[in-house]
Amino acid sequence: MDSAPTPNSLSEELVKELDSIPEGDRIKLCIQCGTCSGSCPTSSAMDWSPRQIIAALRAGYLDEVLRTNTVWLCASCYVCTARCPIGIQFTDMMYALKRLGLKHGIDPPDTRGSRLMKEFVAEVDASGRNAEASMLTKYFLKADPLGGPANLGLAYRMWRKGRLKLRREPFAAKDQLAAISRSLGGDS
Amino acid sequence: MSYLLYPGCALEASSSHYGKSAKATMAALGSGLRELDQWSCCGATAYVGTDEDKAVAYSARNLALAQSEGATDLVTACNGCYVMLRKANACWNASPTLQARVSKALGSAGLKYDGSVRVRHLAEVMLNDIGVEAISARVKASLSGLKVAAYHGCQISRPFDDVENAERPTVLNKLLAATEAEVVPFPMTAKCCGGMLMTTRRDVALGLVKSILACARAKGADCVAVACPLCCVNLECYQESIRSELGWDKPMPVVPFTQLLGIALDVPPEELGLDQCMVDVEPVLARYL
Repeated sequence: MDSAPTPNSLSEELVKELDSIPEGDRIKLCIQCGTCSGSCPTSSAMDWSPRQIIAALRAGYLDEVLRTNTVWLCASCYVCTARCPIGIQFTDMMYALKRLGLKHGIDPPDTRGSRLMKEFVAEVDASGRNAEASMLTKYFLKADPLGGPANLGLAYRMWRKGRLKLRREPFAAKDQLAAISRSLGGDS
Repeated sequence: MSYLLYPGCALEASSSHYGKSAKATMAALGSGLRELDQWSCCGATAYVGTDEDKAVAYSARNLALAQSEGATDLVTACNGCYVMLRKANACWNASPTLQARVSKALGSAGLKYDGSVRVRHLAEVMLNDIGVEAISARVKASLSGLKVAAYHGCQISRPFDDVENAERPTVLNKLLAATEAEVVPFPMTAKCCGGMLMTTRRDVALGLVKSILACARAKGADCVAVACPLCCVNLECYQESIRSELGWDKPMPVVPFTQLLGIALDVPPEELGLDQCMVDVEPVLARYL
């Protein structure tokens, strides 16, 4: 984790992140019509709706935005992106916000979303692929120990049907992934 | 024609019956699917939300491998892999700085990629390369009388909507019509199944699944056909926990579209992994086997 970010440095970083999204600066053109919020299948569960997130970002409330549950409730269905009349790629913006939050350790109170991502990424870095059973076991043990046992019955039934692999497939190209990761500044 | 397949993680595990039936059905259509050697995870929604450079580079690695095998197309049967691999390709056109970093990273792993491998969804390959007429001509067991809700999910047509209409994808409808099944009108076809929220926010994801399944039943569907392994798991595996809320006495079978095509093409059930469905398909499909 980097040194504690200030609101200003965070905003600057977001601008840079948004620059990496094709036409990311379109957020400036938002007319607050609310098409994104009305289209989003999970907005009813969000602290702040997508429209409110854009308004808050433009007003400089990045820190607060990163502490909403909104970012982690985006399931990447891209319907907001498909419908935005001004061409804002809101789903990709959600990804940029997830990355910023993870980088600076700024989480909403419910950290299950970011915990799952961390386990997923660790699994892929370690074995080249997502071994679902291993990844989910670690996730539930660490992030949701009370929610885990409820899945054991389903896991057993899936295993019986040949739909849960307990052993990882061998993956011979780990060195290649490690070289790619090193080149991009990763540490795996 | 033989195609190079990028299976992706779920097609080998939680939706292994989808992978199995995809290969068997393509074979029955006279086309082969051979697996990309040494493929790695596409990064999925999790990796791109953590580290964009590495997410794109890991996906691009698979495209580079495909290119080194001389393939012009890389086929996937997973909506999530489809988007991630296409995102990697898109950076070759739209993001020169990211592309430069990714190319350098690939180079450090002894790989080279020029952005030219076309990423395609299996359903679209069947529709556009093989075609409804050719499929119809090979149908040996008509699915006439079977009512199917064709569920496309989100990422088969979003954000990349150049192949299918973003909100009204029809590729599955057309393919299933070739089997003479009745494809019911299904307004929820491109709604979100909740994706990974089924793990992190089950309450939210179950709400989405409930509305999709309720719509399918209200439209008279005997089963739901899917084109994505994650949609398959979300719609199929959690029905027990919502059945009482839906007021259902019997569950709704959810099948990869390749299983239905396979049945119509007279592929043996064991090659389609029909016994691997979590919701018993016997009651609705037995008469076609």
